[in-house]
Amino acid sequence: MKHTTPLHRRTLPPNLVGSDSTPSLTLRSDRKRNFRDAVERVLTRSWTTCLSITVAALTGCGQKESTDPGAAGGQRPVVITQKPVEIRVKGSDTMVQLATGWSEAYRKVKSNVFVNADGGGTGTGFAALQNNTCDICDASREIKKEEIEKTKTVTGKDVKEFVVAYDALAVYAHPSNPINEISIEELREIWAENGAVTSWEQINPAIKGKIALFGRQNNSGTYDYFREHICGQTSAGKQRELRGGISEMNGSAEVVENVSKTPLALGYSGMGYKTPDVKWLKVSSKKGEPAVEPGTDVARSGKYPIARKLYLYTAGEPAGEVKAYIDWILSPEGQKIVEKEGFVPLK
Amino acid sequence: MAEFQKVRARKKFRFLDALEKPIEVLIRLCGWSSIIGIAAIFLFIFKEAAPMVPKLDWIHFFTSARWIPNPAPGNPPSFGAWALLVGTFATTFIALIIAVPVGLGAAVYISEFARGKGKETLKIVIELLAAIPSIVWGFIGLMVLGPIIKGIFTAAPGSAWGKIMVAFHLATAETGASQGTNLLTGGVILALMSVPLIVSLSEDALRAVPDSFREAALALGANTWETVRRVLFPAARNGLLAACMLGMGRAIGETMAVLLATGHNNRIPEALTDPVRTMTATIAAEMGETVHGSEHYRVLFILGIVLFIATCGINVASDLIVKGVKKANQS
Amino acid sequence: MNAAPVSPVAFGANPFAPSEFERRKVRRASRNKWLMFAFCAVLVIPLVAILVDIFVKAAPVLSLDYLWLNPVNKGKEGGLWAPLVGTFYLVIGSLLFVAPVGILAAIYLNEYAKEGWLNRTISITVTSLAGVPSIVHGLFGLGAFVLTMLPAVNRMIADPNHPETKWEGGLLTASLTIAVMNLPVVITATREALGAVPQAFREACWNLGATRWQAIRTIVLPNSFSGILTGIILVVSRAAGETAPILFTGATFFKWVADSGWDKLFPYNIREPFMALSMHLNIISTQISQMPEVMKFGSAAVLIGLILFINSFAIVLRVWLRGHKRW
Repeated sequence: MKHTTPLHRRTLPPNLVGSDSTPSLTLRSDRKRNFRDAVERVLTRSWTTCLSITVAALTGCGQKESTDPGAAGGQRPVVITQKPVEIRVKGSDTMVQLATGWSEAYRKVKSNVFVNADGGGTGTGFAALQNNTCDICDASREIKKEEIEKTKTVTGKDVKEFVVAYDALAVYAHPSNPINEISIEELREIWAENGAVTSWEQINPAIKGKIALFGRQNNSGTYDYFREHICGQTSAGKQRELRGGISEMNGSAEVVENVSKTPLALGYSGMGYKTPDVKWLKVSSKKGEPAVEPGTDVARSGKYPIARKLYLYTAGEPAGEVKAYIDWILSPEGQKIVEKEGFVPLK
Repeated sequence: MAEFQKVRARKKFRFLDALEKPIEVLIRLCGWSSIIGIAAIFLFIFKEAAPMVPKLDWIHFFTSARWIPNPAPGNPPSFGAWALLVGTFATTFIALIIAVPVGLGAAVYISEFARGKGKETLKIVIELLAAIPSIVWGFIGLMVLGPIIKGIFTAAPGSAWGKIMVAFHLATAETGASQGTNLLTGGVILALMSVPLIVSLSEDALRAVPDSFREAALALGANTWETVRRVLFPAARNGLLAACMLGMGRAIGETMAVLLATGHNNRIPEALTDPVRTMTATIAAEMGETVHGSEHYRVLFILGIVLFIATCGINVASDLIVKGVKKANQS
Repeated sequence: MNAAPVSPVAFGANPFAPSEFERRKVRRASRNKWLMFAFCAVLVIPLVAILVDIFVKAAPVLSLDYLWLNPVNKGKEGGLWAPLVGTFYLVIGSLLFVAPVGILAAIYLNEYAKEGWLNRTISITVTSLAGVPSIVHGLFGLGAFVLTMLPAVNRMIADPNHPETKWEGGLLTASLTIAVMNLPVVITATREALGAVPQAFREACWNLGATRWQAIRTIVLPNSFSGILTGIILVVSRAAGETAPILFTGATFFKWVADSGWDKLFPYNIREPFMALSMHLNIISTQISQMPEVMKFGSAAVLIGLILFINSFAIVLRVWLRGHKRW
C-alpha cells in the first residue's frame, strides 16, 4: 500500500467541520437483522454503555474498597456481632504452616478476629515489622542486633520477643538408604564449603554415589540456623559457609518432597515436614556418641543437637487483640496446634 | 419519533465533539505511554540498583560461581553470578536446540503444506498453547515431565545405561539424575513455551514472502518442498531468524516455569540432567525474602538489569532485522 | 530434464514415466512433508496428553463447590473461591488502567502519528516492552509502585496513628504492574484492528465533513471493535495467568475471605494484599507439606481451564465476527 497523498493528515477547513445535518455514519444493514447482526450492533454501537456499566460496577466496588475495614462491621452478616479486627502476621516460611494453623483455629475462638498469616522469610518479617506492615513477625531464628536497633530507630518501639514453640531440624534421607545415623562432624564435611565428603562411600561403603544435597534458600531462618550449628568455624575463626551445588528449595516441604524421590539424597528441614516417604537420620554430636532421633522430648531438653526455638516478635508491648492472640497461642489450646502441625510445644 | 431521535443524536454528537481538543491531547499523551513505560522500568530498576553499582566487584560477579548473598555474621557476602548466567544460557540453549527445528518445521507445515480445516485447527491449537501461563508450564515440569525424565535417566550403578550416561554427560553419576527438576526438564519446558511464539512469527515471515516467488518456483518445476527449501527459506531468512531470536528472548526471560522446573541449584552444570538455577529464578526466589535496601536486594536488581538489557537487545535486534527486510522488499 | 542419461525407451513402456531423479525428488518431498507434520504432532500430541492427564488427575475434586468454597487448611481442603475472586479483581483492575491507555496509544500510532523517528521509536519501545521478562516487570512494580508510589500516597493519606489506614502492596500495585506488562499487547492488537479498517472508510467520512476525531469515533472504532475486543480478551487471559509480576507487588498466600454474604463477593481492599489463582498454584505445588496431589492438579486444571476458556472465547468471537465483515 502506498499513499501518495496522505489524505488523513490534512486538516479540514473549519467550515466543513461538524455541519448541522451530520447523519449517523455507521453503515446500516437492512431491516431483517439476524442474531449475529444484533450482537455486533450491541458490541459496536454501545461501547459507551459498556464503559459506563464497567465504571459503575467499579465505583460500586471502589466504595466498598475504600471503606475502612473496621467500619464495615455494620454491613456484615449477623454472625459477627463485634467489630472485626485484622491481625497481620508475616515472617518465617518454616512457621507459615504453624501460623496458618493457629489463625484457622483462632477463628473458632474469636470469629471477629481475622489473622492473615503470610510467609516470606524471617528477614522479610523483621523488615515488615520495621515498616509497620505487620503486627506480629514469625521468626525461626533469634532477632539480630541490627534488626532490634533498626526497629527502634524506625518505629521508636522496643522489640518484644515470645518463644512459642520448639523445632528440631531433621536430617532427611531416602527410605532405601542403609545409613541410619550420622554425626555432626560428618554433616559438616558434607555441607560446609570445601568439605571433604561428596559421595556416600566416604560415610558408609554400603551405599555408592554422589550425595545429592537439598536445603533451604539462603535467606530463610532454617538456612541460617543449619549453617550456624552444622558448618562450624574455619581456621581463621570465622563461620564456615555452606557449599555451592546444594539444591536450595523455596519451601521446607519441597526439600522433603525431593528427598523422597531421590535415593541418594540428603536434606535438612523442620521435623514438622516429615512424610511417610522419607526417613529421619539419627544425629549424634560426635562420632561414637549415641545418636538421637528428632522428637518432642529430646528437642525440648536439648539432647537433640539441632533443635531451635521458634519466636514471635512484636514492635512494642502487644495490646488488645494482638495480646489476646499471643496469649491464646501460649495457652494449652494454642500449643495443641503446635503439636498437630508437627512442631514441639513448649511444655 | 424519528425527529426526536435525530435531535438526541445530534446533541450527543456535539457533546463528544466539543471534547475533540482534549481527547486529541490525551491520545497524543497515551501515544507516549510505551516510551514512558520502558523509561520508567529502566529508571526504577536502576534507581534501586544504583547504590550497589560502584560497590559491586564486577569481575567477581561475572566470573565466580560463589553466590552467598546472606553470609554468616562476620563473613563478607559473595555475589558471584557466573553459575546463574551459565544456568540461564544452558537452559536457553537446550530450549533452542529443541524449539528451533520443531518450531520452524511446524511453521512450514502450517504455512505451506496444511490446507483448509487442518490448517485452521493447527493455528488455533498453537495459539492456545501460547496462552498457557508460565506457572502452569512450571507445574507441568515439576509434576509431570520431571518424574518422566527422572525415570528415563535412572539406572542401577554399574549398569550399561549408567555408564553411557556418564560417558555422554547425560548425568554426573552412574545412578542418573539426582532430581526430576533439572537442566533438561527446564530446557524442554522452555522449548515448549517458546515454540508457539516461533511458529506464529515464522509463519508470518513465510506468509510475507510474495506468492510470485512460489509461483515462479513451481513454474520452474520445483515441488513444494523444493520451493520451501530453495526459495522460501532464503527469502524469509531474516524473518525466521527474528522469530528464533524472539523465542530465545522469551526463554531467557521466563521465570515461573524455570523456578519450578530447574531445581534451584547454584552450580555449573556438568551434565544434561544436573539441576541448575537461572537468573530469573534467583530473583523470584530470593527477592521476596530480602530486606529492602540491603546489598543482596540491590544485587538482585542488578541481575534484573542484566536480564532487561539482554532481552531488550534481542528484541530490538530482531525488530531491526525484520524492518530491514521490509525496506529491502519495498525498494 | 537433461540430467538423466537418455536411455532407449522400450516399446510399450510409458514415455512419461518419471525418471529416477524425479522419483527421488517426489519421495524426498513427501518424506519432508511428513517430517514437518511430525514436528506439528510432536508439539501438539504430548501436550494434549499432558493437559488431559492433568484434568483426569484433577477430576475427583472438580465441581462447582470447588470453585465456590474458600480454601481451608492451607488449600488442602475446600475450594478455590478466594484466589479465583482475587484473580478476577486483578484482571478488572489491570484492564481499567491498560485498556484506555493502550487503545488511545494505538489510535495515536495508527491515526495521528506521522512516519518519522518518533513513530519508529514508539514502535521499537512497544516491541522491547513486550520482550521485557515478567520478573523484571515484577521488580519494576516493586521499585516503582510498592516502594515509591505507596510511601508517597501514605504520606498524603494515611494516618500515622492508625496503621490500618496505611496502603500496602496489594490489588492496586499488582494491577498497575500487570497493566504495564500488558500495554504492548493492547497496543499491538488494537493497532492491527485499526489498520484493518479500509482507508476509504475514513476518506468517505472526511469528505462528509467530519473531523479526524469524528471519523475515528464514528467509523474507525465501531468497525474495529471486534478486533480490539479480541485483544482485550487476550490481555485478560494473560493477566489471569501471570505470577512473576505479582509475586512481590501484592499477591499473598493466605488471606481471610468471608464464607458468605457480600463480603464473599468483594473480599479484597485495593490497598491490601490479595490472593490470586496463579500464586495459589505456585505456593501449593511447592511450599505446603503433604499437600494432596489432587488439590494441586485441581488448581492447575482450573487455571488452565480458565485460560483456555477465555482464549477460545476470543478465537470464536474473532472467527464469528470475521465471517460477518462488510468489506
